[in-house]
Amino acid sequence: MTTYFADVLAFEDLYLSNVNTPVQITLWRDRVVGELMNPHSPYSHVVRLTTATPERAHFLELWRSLLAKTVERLLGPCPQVVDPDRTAVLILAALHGGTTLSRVGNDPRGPINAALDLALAALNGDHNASGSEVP
Amino acid sequence: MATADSPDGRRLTARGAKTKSRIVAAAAKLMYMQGVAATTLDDVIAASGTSKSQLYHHFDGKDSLVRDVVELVGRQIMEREEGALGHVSTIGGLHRWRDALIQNNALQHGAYGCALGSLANDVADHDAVARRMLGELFSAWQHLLAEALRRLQSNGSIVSGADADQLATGLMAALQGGYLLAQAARDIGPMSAALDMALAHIESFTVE
Repeated sequence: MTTYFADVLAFEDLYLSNVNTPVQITLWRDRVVGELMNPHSPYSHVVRLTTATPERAHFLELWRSLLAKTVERLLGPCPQVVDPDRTAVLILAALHGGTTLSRVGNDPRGPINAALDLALAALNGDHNASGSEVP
Repeated sequence: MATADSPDGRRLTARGAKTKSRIVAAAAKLMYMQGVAATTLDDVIAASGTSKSQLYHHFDGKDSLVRDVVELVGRQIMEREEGALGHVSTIGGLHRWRDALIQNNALQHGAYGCALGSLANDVADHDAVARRMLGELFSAWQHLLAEALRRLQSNGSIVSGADADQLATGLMAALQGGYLLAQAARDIGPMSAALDMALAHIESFTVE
């Protein structure tokens, strides 16, 4: 399992470090969803774990940190109404929870995509706090 | 007096039905705390205070017992969620729903996750029948969420153009993922953050 954790973190470090625009986060998202559709991918292995071990907790903390830094970069230097750390937690929750729903549903991609649509909405500028669409 | 059915179709006596319920309840508790794979039939026999012959009188094996556990847990969760979501028609109502879930999970420091989600992760790849049962239960749960969101749309709280079904799926995924992250961290924090962020997105559809 250590290998799977290391593989995912290596891929995420590589791909997320190149995400600087909403278009690039969409490409990252498409790639990760593709990985989760492959039962042999290290992403599938790590997201399907349910045991609570120090190793898994540490892995999730590192992944969250990579995602938080990416969110911070995407939001830029302006005053942030979006919390990068909490957004990173929501993205991780979307990947894990979306996968759980995919495993019991008839549409393998649907739940993960719905979850990521919600998690990434603030980064894609879908809605701001007042409910109006962000230009 | 005959009541429920045994595996061979014979009607159970009231006493037999009670024994079967005791076995299923014990199995549900063990599988929640230690997972389906780690729970043996011997564990269930010991925890339920029954015998091997009693267990095999009611169940062909572990798979049929797990399916009854799914049915029991599903019924319990749907009763709870119908009570919690059935009349929600305000953003405040959604927050109260969230508060109850967090408080309940905080009692065990997030250690065990969602009872239904845990079953889904444990058995979905191994038992097609249980997988289908779980799929129907999650659909029903998501339907409750979507109906609550539609009530918010009907009363003008959130915009009518928002896709209630998609939002419900996203919210359910955030909830289930939050449970898993809390379980991994042994800390309710990630579940609280995931739910709060998901609800904040739903609130972004509020009509001004």
